[in-house]
Amino acid sequence: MITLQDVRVEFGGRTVLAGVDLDIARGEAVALVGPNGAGKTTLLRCLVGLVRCRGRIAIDGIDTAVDPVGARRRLGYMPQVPAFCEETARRSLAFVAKLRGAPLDRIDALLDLVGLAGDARRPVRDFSTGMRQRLLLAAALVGDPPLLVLDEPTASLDRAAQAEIVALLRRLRDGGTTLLLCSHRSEEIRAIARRVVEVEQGRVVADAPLEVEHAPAPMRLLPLERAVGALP
Amino acid sequence: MRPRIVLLLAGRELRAAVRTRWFLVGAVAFTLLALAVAGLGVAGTRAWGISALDRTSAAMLNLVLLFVPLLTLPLGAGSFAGELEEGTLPYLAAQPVTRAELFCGKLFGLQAATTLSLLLGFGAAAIWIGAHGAVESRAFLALVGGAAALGVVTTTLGVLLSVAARTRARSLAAAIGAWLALVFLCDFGVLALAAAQAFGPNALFTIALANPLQSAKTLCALAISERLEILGPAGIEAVRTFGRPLLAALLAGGLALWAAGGGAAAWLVFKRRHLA
Repeated sequence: MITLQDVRVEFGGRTVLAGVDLDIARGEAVALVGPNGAGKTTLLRCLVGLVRCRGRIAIDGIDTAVDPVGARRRLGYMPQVPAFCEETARRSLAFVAKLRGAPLDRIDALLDLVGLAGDARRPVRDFSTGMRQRLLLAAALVGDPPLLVLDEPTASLDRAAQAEIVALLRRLRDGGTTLLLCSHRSEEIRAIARRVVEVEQGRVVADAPLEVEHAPAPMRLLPLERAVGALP
Repeated sequence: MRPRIVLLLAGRELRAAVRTRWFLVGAVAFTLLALAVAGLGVAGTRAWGISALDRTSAAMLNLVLLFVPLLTLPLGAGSFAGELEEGTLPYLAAQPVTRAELFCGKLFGLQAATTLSLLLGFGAAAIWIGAHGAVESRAFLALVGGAAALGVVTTTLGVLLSVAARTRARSLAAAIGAWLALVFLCDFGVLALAAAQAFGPNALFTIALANPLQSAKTLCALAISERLEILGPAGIEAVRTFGRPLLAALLAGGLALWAAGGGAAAWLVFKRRHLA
């Protein structure tokens, strides 16, 4: 589903990604972990075309440098900072649907899926942070992309809102959607991801499956115990 | 590039620009000032029998030269840098659109917004003048066209500042600096060169036209009045050298070059930069 080969990024002479190689299969749920400044968010931004990089990135076999539109059509992106294109929730989703060439008749179902059906015509500026995050997730799902790229999907949410987002993402994962997220929350990673990739100083330093969902306490964390366990 | 996507993005940009306070205040202020200028022009006709259009167009031209860059430079400057800070620009860029579609959509939407605000002001003034006296439509339309062309150029220059600056604050500061330079400093420079007698009238005129405001001013003046005095000595010399039609074509071409050059420079910066 995703292939990254020798992906490198420099900002003003500072190396942010120093040759990342990664393969993610269709249907996998992968979490990027690592300290602040490790390069996790930059890696996601390279994937969605926001950061110029060297190396090769392919999504579903489509090289992002050759056909960026075709590659991005196969992914939905949920940024960390909520950003919307229109005044109301419904119009925001409709605009994204038009950009993606997706049918407009699924919008109400998406709003219902994230629990915002009753707020469809309210201005987004009146939404709480949790509502905005859910709307972002709905926008990422417009057009049913097979891959979701999620940057800190539950950042700045209270526990109830976190649980809602996590439950939604688990349903999507179980439905076969490929998930790639970066997060600092260990419980979120444990609940969603099946594989954890640790990034440090712009390199992948560990990559292993995470089998914690059905594990008895203490959790059976594989080689990434250190990375995930150190998270708050 | 897909025209449907560019139109979609331009429509969003137009709606977003129209919702900004700067646009609303600017459009309302321009409309009120245009109405005031039109009212004074009509009053002059009644009192002294002077053509309402001549007075109105001359005063309106000065209003355009001061106001259009002041409205459009910050509007363009706040667009890319502001949306980059808010996260809207990266969000749009992460959708299945090309950078070129995103850039053109935003640029055309902004240009449409500034043209709309100018048309509102001019439209109100035209209605006022039309209700109180005869309107000579050719000169008035030429003034509207010159103002719209200037608006397109200065919006594009604002966009260039916006994509080059890393923050909205910096791009807005640069826009105010550009406004001061275009409206005042360039004229002072030309005056200083004239005082130093370093160049002849034709050379001075050419140097003055390096400022798009001066090009728009001369173009509008050519259309408004048959009298050459309002163009000044250098302008008179230019009319003698090129003739009115060729000079008008050169000035319009110069403005088009400013818009195309500014847009191309902004695109070159935008397509290379990280949107994060």
